[in-house]
Amino acid sequence: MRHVRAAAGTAPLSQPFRIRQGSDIDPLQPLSFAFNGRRYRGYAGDSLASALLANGVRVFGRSFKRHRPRGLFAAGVEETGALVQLGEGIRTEPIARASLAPLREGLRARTLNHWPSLNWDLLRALDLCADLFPAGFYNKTFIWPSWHFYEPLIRRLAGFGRAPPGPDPDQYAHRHLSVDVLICGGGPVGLAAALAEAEAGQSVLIAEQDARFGGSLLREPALIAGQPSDAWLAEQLQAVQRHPRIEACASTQVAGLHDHNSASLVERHPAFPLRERWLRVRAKRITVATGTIEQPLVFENNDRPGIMLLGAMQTYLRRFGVKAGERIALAGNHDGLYRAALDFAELGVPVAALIDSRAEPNEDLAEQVRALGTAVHPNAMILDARGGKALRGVRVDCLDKGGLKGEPFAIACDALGVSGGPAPAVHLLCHAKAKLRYDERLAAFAPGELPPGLAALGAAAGNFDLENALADIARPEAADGEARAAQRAPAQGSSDGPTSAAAGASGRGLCGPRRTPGGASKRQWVDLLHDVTLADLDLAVAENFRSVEHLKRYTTVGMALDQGKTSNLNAIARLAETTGRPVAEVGVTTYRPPFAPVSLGVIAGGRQGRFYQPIRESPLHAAQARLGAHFEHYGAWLRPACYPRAGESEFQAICREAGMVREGLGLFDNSPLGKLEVRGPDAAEFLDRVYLNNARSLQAGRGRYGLMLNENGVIIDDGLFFRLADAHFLVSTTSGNAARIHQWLEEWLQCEWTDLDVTVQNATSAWANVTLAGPQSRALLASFNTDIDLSDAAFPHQSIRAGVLEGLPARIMRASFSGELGFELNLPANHGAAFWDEALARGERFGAAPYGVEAAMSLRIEKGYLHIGTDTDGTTTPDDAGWGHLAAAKQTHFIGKRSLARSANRRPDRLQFVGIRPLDEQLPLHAGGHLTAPGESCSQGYVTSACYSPSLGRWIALGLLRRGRERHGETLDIFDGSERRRGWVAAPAALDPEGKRLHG
Amino acid sequence: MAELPQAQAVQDAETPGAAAPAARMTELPQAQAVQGLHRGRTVQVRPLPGLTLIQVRARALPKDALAAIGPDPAPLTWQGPLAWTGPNERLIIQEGDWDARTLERLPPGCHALDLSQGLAVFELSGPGAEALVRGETAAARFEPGFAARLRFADLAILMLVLDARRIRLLAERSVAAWLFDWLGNRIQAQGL
Repeated sequence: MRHVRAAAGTAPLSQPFRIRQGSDIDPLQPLSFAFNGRRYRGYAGDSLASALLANGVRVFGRSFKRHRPRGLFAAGVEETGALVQLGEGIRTEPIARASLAPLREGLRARTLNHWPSLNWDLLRALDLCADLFPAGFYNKTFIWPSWHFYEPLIRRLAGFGRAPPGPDPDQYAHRHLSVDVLICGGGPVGLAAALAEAEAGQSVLIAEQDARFGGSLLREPALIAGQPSDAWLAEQLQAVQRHPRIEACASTQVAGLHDHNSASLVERHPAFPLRERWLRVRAKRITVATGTIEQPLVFENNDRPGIMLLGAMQTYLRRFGVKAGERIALAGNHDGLYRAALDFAELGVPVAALIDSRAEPNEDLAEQVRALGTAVHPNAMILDARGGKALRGVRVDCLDKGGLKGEPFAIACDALGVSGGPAPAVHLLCHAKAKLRYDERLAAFAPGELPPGLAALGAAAGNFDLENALADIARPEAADGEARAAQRAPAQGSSDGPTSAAAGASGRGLCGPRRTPGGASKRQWVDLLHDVTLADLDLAVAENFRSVEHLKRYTTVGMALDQGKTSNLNAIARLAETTGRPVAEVGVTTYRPPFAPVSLGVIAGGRQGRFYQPIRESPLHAAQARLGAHFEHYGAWLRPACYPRAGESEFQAICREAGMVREGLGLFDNSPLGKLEVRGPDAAEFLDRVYLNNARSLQAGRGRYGLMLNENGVIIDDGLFFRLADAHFLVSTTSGNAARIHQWLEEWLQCEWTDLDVTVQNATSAWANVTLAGPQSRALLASFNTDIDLSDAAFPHQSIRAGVLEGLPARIMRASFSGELGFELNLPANHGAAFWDEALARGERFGAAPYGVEAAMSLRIEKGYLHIGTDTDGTTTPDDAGWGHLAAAKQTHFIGKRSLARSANRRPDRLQFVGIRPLDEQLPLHAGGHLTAPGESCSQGYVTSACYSPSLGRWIALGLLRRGRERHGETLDIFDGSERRRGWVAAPAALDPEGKRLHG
Repeated sequence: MAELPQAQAVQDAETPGAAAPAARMTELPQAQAVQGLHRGRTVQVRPLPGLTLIQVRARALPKDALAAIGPDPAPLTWQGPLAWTGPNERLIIQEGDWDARTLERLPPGCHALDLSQGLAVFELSGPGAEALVRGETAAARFEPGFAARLRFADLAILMLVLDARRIRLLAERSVAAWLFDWLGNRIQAQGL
């Protein structure tokens, strides 16, 4: 738990609006910072907003759409006016709330959304032609000659701030926690609940978004059980900090509540060098004690700089010692105004006028305030706010029979605290699927039915009487955690009024109206962030956007940073009024996570740069690196693409390597090939069902090429499977697919074929694989000591032998993906590198060298070998790939068989696997090029693989083409990027179609 | 690498018998998955090479299938040389000398797979070990004897808790280098 402790000593406070020390700042630690290039001074503990306010700054930026000057509006996450560009360079943060930015030495901040300067913003002209930008303007204006004509300019004008110019250099982390109870909100109710739960034996995590615990008590001191709240709070904090079962996290925002009582929290600056940490919490129960969000008033020009929420005004005064102006007025609809006025006076800040929209305010409080010299205007509302970049005064009129009296009068003021009453902060509850009910007395939505394991306490539950809420927590029956979890929001009307700590005693305090009566205008703001006015709402309704969800999307009210915190209630009330429905019937929009903006950095955590996702390396990786391999990512694997020699380009290296395999011998690190051990008496039956190809007839020591299909008959993997013994197979999956295919096989065994006695184990990482390819491969292999007969007769193509190779247990497979004589050697992973080095050394006399994945791809394209995922897509069936005859011939069942009979899979115009030969043999081709009839533009297929064939001395390609097999020899066009080339259709194999080279 | 699983494969494959040639490669230095050490303020991470790791799997694993090796651990625990890695799977973890012939007494239907060179083992030690692991996994228990296959850093790993300050992570060899670097990065990033 961290909070700034006020220094005991005193020091001169130099800012014009800093009148006292404030509980959060340390006057002994002055800080220097810059705002729009001008230097200012603040103190440790200040926020950027409080420091600027103390220095007399009133304009914090320009509004989103109409570029009106905007000032400080709030003191927390509900801020909609003071949005700034924080910091510079790579650590800059756009759209930062000045009220949430801790002041630090050397901080630089700039205002947003103006040109050429904050004070002289030429784009303010947009305010004068606001008729061009009504709600949904992009659907009905700027349509001639085309929206796209205007779009670049409008996009240029839109948006707040600039993203950092480079990758985020800061560190972020994640942390997982499991607790019995998560308490959201560290105000008085949250603290008391945490202690009660902990005393009942529960482990508790309490999270508070502010840097200090205490909630409303930090700005509105009160008496709690006859004790000053400061002393009560200090006791509670001490007890919480010392309790072994409580973890208290300040500066921690609960971003979202999710299913099954899981929650996402963002902890700011938890420990050096972390900037933020993402807490992923799983709790048995969650208690929401998030208090309230103060609602604004709606009147003409209610966005003038100098107008701010009353609670914010109290916060800046109490916690930072900053008064909002020289002549302050308050306006609102509840008793809290009077208590604030009394508190301000006690701190030496008189309130000039108090405007209460209620006809019958609390006379006791009113008398106390009048006695201080404050002009109290009950049953009155503000007509208009005057001023430009700073508030100069307001015009007020009294209410009369639901309308205005028509006798307006002026009140001079440079700061206006407004409060339309607090509304329960129900956002987190809604994340967890709580139902809301509209409480007429509060004129706000409060929690209704809550899902199991979720509870709401205190003001968040609509119970604004703190003493009453604390008494609820202290009740003996509430000490039982389950009972507390079952506790629901209080019944409607249980509150004594929309005030905070001291409200209970008043017995009064019902909300008055929040909106000044009269017609809607284009200068009565409902959503300050998006410049949404009453007129915009009315226009949307007139255009029949009567659902609250439609209204939100058409006008953008409550979107973006605000997320309905200060705009929703007034918008919903207006929608109810104009459509003649009760507010409860209109309902509320869906509140979704995150509650407040969350940085992408903290979501990513450590998953940045090379740690974005796991990278797999072969046991031979270091040996490849020593050979100067150029590595590339192939799926999750980092593999050698090629091994360029001095002065050689990658293209030249690939051609040399491929030619070397055709002419003599090449060595290939094939370790990523999947190696699944399938064992058990039903292993053959199992693989027979899994593969299109027959497994039962395979003899021990032999292998067979197989295609694996999904239930739709689509090819998902291919490779060789070998029979080591009657009940033992080795399945060789495609590189990088081992885990997925293992999972696939397990699913079938565990969920569908529970009668089969088979086990599948993944041995991929246990073996290194050194592949020898080329006419000389047998000669090289024979130079090693082995007990395996390597002759063609004893060891035919597609067979496996297990034995000893240079003292190592080895499995040797005679197989080829190059079309040449080839041996794939599986060796214990730790010994692979030694064997590789030795094989390279011995291979020199055959002209052998390593070849990379790119050469391997060239070799298989020459042979027309299918590469799953490259030459197939999510629709390719065996028949499309040229293996339909096998599917047709196999009598027994296999996965996907029934789907192959579907009419869609038997259409004659399906994409079929073919070879493509460009007429101009020396022009490069690229995968992805479209295949069309000559001179036409309609795509009939596409190129899936292409390479330069060093053996044939020309470019060749493979592709998928409609009715491709019956079109061999046909001329077509290849639309390759911006160029169109002529080519012809051929069989996939461009080299050695008879397969003679496989035998050396 | 223990001999038996390979030897089984040799027997299974019924390869032509021949006298084993001189064991040259086995005399060469073996390439371990990872070398080095990460040392933070409160935690250090070191690879533990040389452990024998045998995965035993069956369609339905008999209760006393591995009695000759050790008592069968309860779910989500490890005990002695055995870790529970699933209802039908155990991992034998042996340090030092190991008589692979023990596996000859496995009941029919139990299949052993030598993963000694296929898995990398990292030991996290120090008071910050738990915090380092908590950054990446929702594992709820850090009690001695806890064993679980978990998603950790987007990887499938086996976690074994030795005591409050010692945790072992077992991951596939192919991701060992990346995981080792990841752990080092997290130690540095979190100031552990």
